[in-house]
Amino acid sequence: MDNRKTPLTEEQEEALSEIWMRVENAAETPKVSSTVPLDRIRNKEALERLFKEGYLTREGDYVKFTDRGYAEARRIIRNQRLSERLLLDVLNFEHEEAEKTACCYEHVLDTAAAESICILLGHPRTCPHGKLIPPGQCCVSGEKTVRPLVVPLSDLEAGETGTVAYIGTTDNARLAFLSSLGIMTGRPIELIRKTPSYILKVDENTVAFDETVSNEIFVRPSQRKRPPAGSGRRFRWGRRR
Amino acid sequence: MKQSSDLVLTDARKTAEAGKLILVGQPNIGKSMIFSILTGQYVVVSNYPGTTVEVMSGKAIELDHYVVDTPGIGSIIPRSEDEMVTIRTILSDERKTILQVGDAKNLRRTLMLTLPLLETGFPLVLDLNMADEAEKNGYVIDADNLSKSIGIPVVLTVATEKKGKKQLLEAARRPSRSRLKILYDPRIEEAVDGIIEQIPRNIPSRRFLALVLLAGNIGLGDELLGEASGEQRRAIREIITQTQARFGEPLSQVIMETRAATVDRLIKRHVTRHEEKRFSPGLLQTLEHLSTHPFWGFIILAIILFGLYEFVGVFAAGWVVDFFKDVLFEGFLLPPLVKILSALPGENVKNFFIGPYGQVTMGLTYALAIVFPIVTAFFISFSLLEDTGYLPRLAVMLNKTFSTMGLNGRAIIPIVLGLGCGTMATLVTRVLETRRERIIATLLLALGIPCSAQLGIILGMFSKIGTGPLMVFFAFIAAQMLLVGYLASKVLPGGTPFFIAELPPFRIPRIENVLTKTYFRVWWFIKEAMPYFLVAAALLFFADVTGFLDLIMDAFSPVVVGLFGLPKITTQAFILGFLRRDYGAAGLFDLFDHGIIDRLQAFVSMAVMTLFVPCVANVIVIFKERGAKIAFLLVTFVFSYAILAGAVLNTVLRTLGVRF
Repeated sequence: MDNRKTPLTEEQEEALSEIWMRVENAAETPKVSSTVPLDRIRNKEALERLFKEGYLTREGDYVKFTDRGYAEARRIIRNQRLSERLLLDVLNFEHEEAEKTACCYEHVLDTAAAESICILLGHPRTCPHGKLIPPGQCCVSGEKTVRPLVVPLSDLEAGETGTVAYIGTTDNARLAFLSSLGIMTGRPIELIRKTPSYILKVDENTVAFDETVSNEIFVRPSQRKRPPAGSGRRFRWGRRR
Repeated sequence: MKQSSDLVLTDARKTAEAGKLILVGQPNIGKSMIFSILTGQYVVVSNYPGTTVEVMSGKAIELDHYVVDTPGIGSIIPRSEDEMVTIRTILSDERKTILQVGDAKNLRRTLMLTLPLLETGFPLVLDLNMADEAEKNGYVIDADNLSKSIGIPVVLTVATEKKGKKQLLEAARRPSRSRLKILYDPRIEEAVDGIIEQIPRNIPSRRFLALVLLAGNIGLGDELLGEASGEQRRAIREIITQTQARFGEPLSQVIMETRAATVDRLIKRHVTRHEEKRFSPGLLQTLEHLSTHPFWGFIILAIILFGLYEFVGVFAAGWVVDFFKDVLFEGFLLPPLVKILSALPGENVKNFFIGPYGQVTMGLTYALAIVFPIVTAFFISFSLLEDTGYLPRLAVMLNKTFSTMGLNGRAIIPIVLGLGCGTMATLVTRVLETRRERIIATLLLALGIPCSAQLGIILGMFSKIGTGPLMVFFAFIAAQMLLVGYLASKVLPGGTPFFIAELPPFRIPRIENVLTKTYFRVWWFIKEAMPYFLVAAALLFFADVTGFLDLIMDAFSPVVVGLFGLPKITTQAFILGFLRRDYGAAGLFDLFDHGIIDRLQAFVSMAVMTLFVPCVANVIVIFKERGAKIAFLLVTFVFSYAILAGAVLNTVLRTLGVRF
């Protein structure tokens, strides 16, 4: 997949979302095949880079999304509109203020965080301006509960992967021992099984431990297990690291 | 392990002038193997962490150094007695070079230990072992440039195949002190400088020590501070408290994260990985995965136990013992010996050798014809299990069960080793972290774990009684251990420690390693056990001649006859059991074989014998390791408990009218 691409700059993201909104303004639902006149986009420099990096293609005087560019634009728009909803509905921001703040949020939200907001807000369909929020995987599977972004290892299902967020112990010996096995902040892990003991894979190490220890290892699950959701599967959102 | 250390230690005392080469590294990465290569001396090598529990040393063949092998350490903060030994050895005040043996495929982990070792200021060599496994997993390590980056020689080896020996020897001849200095957070550096000022000048590795203290290891630090005055110690404590107040997270974490960042940089620069080279899971990996499965794991365990039963119980204790006893001994060896010894003058002298309690007819025959084949078979199986890497998986499977007895999965190693030899196993309880665990493990070993010789005899005897009763027998013994373990965990103060274990990859055992290991263990066993067999026979002989035996038999017969429902003559086997449990068990087997005791009696007597006080050698080790007070209490308890359990078992079986 395209997980080795360089992250988009803020200008590039702005340009992508601009294209998306131009299509919407033309009273169309943005699709991969949607086109927008070239001269309507303000930031030419960002545009050039998007062409070069394969997010957009050129068709005469029009720009067109590539599959990848479409997915990115959709993600950015979704983040932006979800942020507006959150700020307005939950945090009681003023309209104008919400819009301004949401502009900053959309660039830093990752997919997992966006999903949590989406679930929290009950999968809203439209933004405060009445425009459609592209549905995410969570909307398709209709999840009702938000799972914290950082959970103790014992909350992970067998087979899930993640990265270690932190070790919640003040016992120096245990901390040292865990880190000597490679279990430390930022390391990717895979939970092999939970019974009869916890078995974790980190680097080339396979480590076994009991429930007590597993409650002290806090991880950021990298992908959540879901029933396969038809349309959502195409998108690899938020792979920005 | 013990057998080789004895032989090696005297050698080490002979010189002092040559510098020492200290082997240090995480558990289960082949330090002992490297030690063997460097010194040409054999040490027990296994595929599980914690095989080496004592420091061993020996003269290197092609170097001027004395090589010292140390127990594996997870990090520089020790978790148990054996790890503590290593830290003391590293920091001792003498001329030395440190040879860190590390896992090549796990460079991150290896380097996390290298960095603090650099801080000790001693000359260092880094040996990246198991380079073949690293290569198989697609890692390419640029050892030359890594060496330049950290400023010490770095060599790649495959110890099992003796690859890289030349480079290793060369590197050991030109170790170097690294100039690489890891700079920590300025607040930490400030504290380190402050602490160093308080540490007496004659102590080596003051920067290292300051960091150990800051990382929260006050206990270890205090010990290593040597002659530091109370005032200096107080000043150090003050600095630590103040520094901790300046951070949100524990200081050890701050220090560790700096090291991790350095390691990350080194790895990025010097290691490349070819993902596509990753081999697909083969049969071994599948088995590895299934061996800890909540369902298949127990099936695999059952298959292993069945194999053990067939090999040790049916084949060795049945066929081989019959062959040794009936054909070899009674057919060939004994008749001429008896003939020669019959020429001895005096009835008593003759009987001393060839009487019913004779050195030859009883001592030698039992030891060589019955015990020897069984022990050999057990050690072959055990060595095989060890070298595949199965034992830590067993710890995973049984951790929950063990935790009800106040132990955790780590205790599996001494307990399973106890099935080989309780004496050896009691020594190995050192790998356990707390005193509480060591006491419970020692108690369980003394109470319920039959040693290989005894186990073989049990299996041999039950192969004639039936598999059903054997299951009942093991269930009974296991229940006693669970009960006693549970009670002990309630009585002894302290909590059950957390369980973390590393699972080594499954490996195909190397036949020559299995055989050498078996050879050394059997040899050690014979050396240790044989004298007790002869002494036991001699004691019985004198007790018989002087009429003392009848006296003891009379004294104990109310217990044996009344409580256990056994014929008076079984007392003799129990008295033998005092000297060696397997010897006693062999006596019972003999009585059963001759139809003197029936199946039910055999069952009861074997249960009592198993729960009974362990052999003399084991008792001596218990006193040595646990101290007189605890040891006395343990032995008294086990003795009383065995009598009680035997009486209850006999009464229950007879009341219920059980027939085997």
